[in-house]
Order: sequence, then structure tokens, then C-alpha cells
Amino acid sequence: MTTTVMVSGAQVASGARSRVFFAGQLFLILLGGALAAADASIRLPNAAQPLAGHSRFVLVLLALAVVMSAAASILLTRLVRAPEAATQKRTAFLAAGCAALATAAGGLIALGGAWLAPLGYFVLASLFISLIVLVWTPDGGTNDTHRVLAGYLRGIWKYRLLLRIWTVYNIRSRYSQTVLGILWIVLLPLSTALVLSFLFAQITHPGDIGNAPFISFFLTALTFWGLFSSGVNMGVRALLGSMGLINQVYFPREVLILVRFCEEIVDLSFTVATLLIVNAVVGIWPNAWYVALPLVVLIQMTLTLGAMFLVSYTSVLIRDVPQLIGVLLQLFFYLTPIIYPVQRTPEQLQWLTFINPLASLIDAYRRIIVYGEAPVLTNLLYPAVFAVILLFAGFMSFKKFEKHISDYK
Amino acid sequence: MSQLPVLPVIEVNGVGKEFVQHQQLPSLRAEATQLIKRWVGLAKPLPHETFWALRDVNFRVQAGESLGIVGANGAGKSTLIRMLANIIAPTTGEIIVRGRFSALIGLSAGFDAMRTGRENIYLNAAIFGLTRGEIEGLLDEIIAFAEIGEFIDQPVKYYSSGMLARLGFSVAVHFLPEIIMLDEILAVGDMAFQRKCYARMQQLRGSSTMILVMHSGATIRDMCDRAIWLHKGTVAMDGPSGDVVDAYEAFNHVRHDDAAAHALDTPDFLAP
Repeated sequence: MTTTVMVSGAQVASGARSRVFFAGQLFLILLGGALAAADASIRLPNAAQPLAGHSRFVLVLLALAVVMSAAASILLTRLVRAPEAATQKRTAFLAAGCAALATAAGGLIALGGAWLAPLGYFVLASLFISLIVLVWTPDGGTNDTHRVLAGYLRGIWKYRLLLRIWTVYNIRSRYSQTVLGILWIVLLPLSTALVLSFLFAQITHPGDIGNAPFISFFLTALTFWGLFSSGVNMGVRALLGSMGLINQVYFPREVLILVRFCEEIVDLSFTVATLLIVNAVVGIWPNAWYVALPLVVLIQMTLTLGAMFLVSYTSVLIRDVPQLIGVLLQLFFYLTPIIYPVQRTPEQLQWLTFINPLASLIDAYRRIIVYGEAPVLTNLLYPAVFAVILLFAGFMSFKKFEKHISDYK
Repeated sequence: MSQLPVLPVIEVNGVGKEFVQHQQLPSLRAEATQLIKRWVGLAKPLPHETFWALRDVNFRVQAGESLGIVGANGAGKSTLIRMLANIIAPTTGEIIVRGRFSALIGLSAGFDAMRTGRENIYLNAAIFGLTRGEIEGLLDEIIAFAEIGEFIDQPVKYYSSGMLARLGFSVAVHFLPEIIMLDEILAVGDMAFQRKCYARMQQLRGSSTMILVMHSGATIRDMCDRAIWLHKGTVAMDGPSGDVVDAYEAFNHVRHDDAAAHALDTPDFLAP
């Protein structure tokens, strides 16, 4: 069996380009966020009444969306330095067209009312994805991205044994080195939930969280917040902690991220088991809506993995990122309705809460697990689109940066 | 085998490696404004100092050949072998490596410090592309050759550099790679192990392609058919190993004599 390894580099190993890519991602994500916010502001307070009393928000957000899509299209034309002028022109044209369409779609959602929202999301999703495909296609604007992606996925498949062995070793050593071992991942969310429910029992009105017991109200959110936050923390360390290895052996670097991700999934299974036991103790039993749980978990995993790819290489690139991530996670812990119900935020500002894709997810978990209700599926569309974009953008930019990782030791 | 009209296993075409030393701006704020200006197109990227570790390196290696790389510290030997092993990317040109290679670069030999020796054998084998069955078949032989003893089940962070080198070498040669790349790894082993390694390499010579980075001219002369002398990032000489090593050593002697002559000029109170 012969494998051919081809290494070719046409670029100076400079951080500037990757930084611009990072900024481009942020722009696109913000754009998606603004449009989703426009939608949420109409739909959430009262789904039956489009535009009622919210026209000011809608106008502001639409203006924001237009500005952002214009900025994104300018950015795109600057980003894509195609080898030939013809490709460059075509790319610029496509970018401007996409931006215009995206803005139009946003307007459509805003003016059309609630029932158009899901359709609008799909239009937006396809537009964003095509935009990102444009940006991240190697050699600027040829349409072989799917082939490139398929190549990457084949690479991962080739290294599946490594992935499996490494995950098993990491999990084994993690739980054999500490005295309490596997109990730690269960104890941490459990103790936080206990403290919170003790505190909140004193200061909250019982009506805020319905007839749910405090402990399961908090633990449900904490369990799934834990998947995201510790995933991101692991992503930060995934490359930084293995620079010695990265400088001495070649293997696709995404294996390092995927190993951490698999560890996360194993941890999650333990914390979810704990959650179910605690819920059973306080009298909340599994219900029929649990069939929707895998979908929500899948969306959250996609989101987490995308975030892991993004933070792992930006942490190597800019050494302030690990600290920044710590602060942001703290901030998001409070911005996400974890220790309070969504309904506690002022009605006028609920759309802001829902810009955060985790908010809808946590809300869905609570509806299913704590209250035994159906999740609001249209609320899950935005996180789903967000997650897919984040994973795609995160992975592609990760692969783009991959071969320069060892230059940043 | 080298008479067959086959493609060379390694092709290095016009390879250069530039390391960029970014100019540090005085503050984060200056950095941020610079970044924004650059997006909008108001400012050009900052001028940065660059350093070419390698420049316009060209050579081909045929299957079964063993190639030594000599050169002073900083000549670019390690950069070159790291590029061959696909660890860093060249700035210009291209490198094509055909075949499965194992590379032993640096003192920790590509091991995960937290894992035990045995686990690292598995990891390295999986990175190399062996199946679980193949790994299990080779495991005892690898451990025996490395002479690690019961330490094999200790995390490699507790290993001495000699033990790391022994295990690394043992792993690298037992996978029967088509190409072996070694970077100075044998310098830390004791004499007995070095002798064992050389014997093993002589065995593999001809069947595997070898790339060796060595300081010892004598080793290159013994182990390699051909050698490349890197000087300040360019190929100073490429030819039969004996000739190249002779030229390299002659050059070093001249430099050494120069330095000695220079030392005579220094005043007495500075002399050791």
C-alpha cells in the first residue's frame, strides 16, 4: 500500500490571513444573529401577531442586517485573492449578489411574519453556506469544495483507529489518576445545582419555574451547558497541550480535537445518567417527548464541535484567546437562561437572549425533560443553522491553518 | 531495484522555508486599529523581518537509497527533515514523498508524555497506519529491542532521554517503513545501543530508503551512499557520502584553524 503525501506551500506563514478569516466568520455569524433576532422579536412575544408593536426593533435590525451584509460582501472581495482576475471578478459579483439576497431574505422574514420564518431560515442557511464555501474554497472560488471536504473526511476515516485508541487512553487515565475518578464529572454539576437550588429557593418566586423542582430545573440546564463549556475548554487546550507531539509527528491535527470531543460525549453520558436518576428521585420520569432529545443533543454537539475547532487554532494563533474564552464562557453562563427561566427576561429583550443559540437549546431541554412539553421546533432551526455553519466554517478554517500550526510553537 | 524506471520516492523541488518574525506593535489598541485599517484597505500589512532557513533546495531520492544530511548548526538540516516528515509546510516549492515513512525527530520521539510506553507504541503504530492485529504482532519484538524492561508500563514522562530514544528507534524500524527519517536521535543512546542501531540500519539498508541527519561524519560515511551538505540554507554539495563528508570536514578544519589563529590575537588576560 502506497500513500502519497504532498506538501506544497505558496503562502508565507503569516497570522494575518487567518485573523482575517476569523473576522470573516464573526461577521457572518453576527449577520445570521441579527436576522434571527429580527425574527425572534416578531415571533416570540406573540406568534400570532406579526409586527405588532415591534416595528422599531425590526427597522433597526433590518438596517443592521443591510450594513452587515454590505460589510460582509466587501470583506469577501478583499479576502478572496483568486489567481486570475476573471475568477476574482466572478467571486466579487457572487459575493455582492449573495449579500443582497441575504438582506432581501431578512426583509422578507421581518415583513412576512411568523409563518415565513422557517422558510427564511432555509434560504438564509443555503446562502450563508454558499458564501462560506466561496470564502474557504482553496485557490479562491473554484467549485471543488465538496471534493476537498470529502478528502478531509476520508483522512479522518483513515485515522479512526488512532482516534479510538487515543480516546480510550485519555478516558482511562483521566479516571485512574484521581481518587474519586469518574465521580468528579457527576459531582461537579450536581453540587452546583444543589447550591443553586438552595439559594434560589430563598429568593425566587416559586411561580417562576412552574411546578418543577428547583434541583431538576437547574441540573437539566447545567448538564447540557457543561457539554458546551467543557467542550470549549478542551478545545482551547487540544492543540496547545500537544504542541510537543505536533512538532514531531504528522497526523491530521483534527484528530486531537475529535479525541477531546469523544471524551466529551462519554462525560455527557455519565452526566445525563445522573440527571435522569436525580429527576427520578424528585419524581420527574422520562416522557414521550424524549424522542426529540437526540435531535437537540445533535444540534448542540454540532455547535460544540464547531466551537472547539474554532477556539483550538485561534488559541495557538493568538495567545490571548484562552483567557478571553474563559471570560466569555463566564459571561455566557449568565446570558444563557441557565440559572433563570427565559420568561424572567423582560419581554422586550427576549429577542436578545435568543441571539445566543444555546438559549433556545437549553429552553428545549427544559421543555422536554422538566416540563414534559414538546420543544418549539421553529426555535431550534436557528441553532441548527448556526451550528452547521459554525462546524463547517470552523473545520475548514482549521484545515486551512493546520499546516502552519507548528510554525507557532 | 533502482534500475527500474520508477518515480523517485522523495522529490524536493525548489523548496524554501521562510520564518516570519512579526513586528510587535506597542499596544493591543495599536494592533486592533492596525487590523481594522487593513480590512478596510487603509493600511498595508506591517513590514516584517523574515529569515530564510532554507532557500531553493532541490534533490531527489530513489527507492533504497540512503541519504545523509550534514551541515553546521542552523544550516537548515532539521527544518528540511521536518518538512520531509510533513510537520511543517514549505514556503516555496513542493515536496513529494511517495510511500509510508516513519520519522524520528527530536528527543521526545513523537510520544505523548502522559501515556505509557506501551500505549505510545499503539499510538505511533496507529499514526503510521498499522492495524490492531499488526501492532499486537510486533509489540513484543519492539519492547525487547528497546530494552525498556518493566518501564514499558510507566508514562513516558518518567523516561530518561536514552530510554526515549531507544523506544523511538525501536518503534520506527519495526514498522518496516518504506522510508525512515532520523534526526540526530542516536546521539543520546549509549555505545552498546548505538552499535545495535547501526547493525539494524545496515540490515534495512537497501530495502528501505533512509534519510539521516548526523553530526558525525564517520557515521554518514558508513551508513549512507550519498550525502547532502547544507550550508546556510542552501545545498553546498550533493554527491557520494565519502566526498561530501571529506569536503565538509575540510571546510570545518579551515574554519577551526581560522578560529585558532584568531584566538592567538586575543590579549592574554582574556585567554582562559
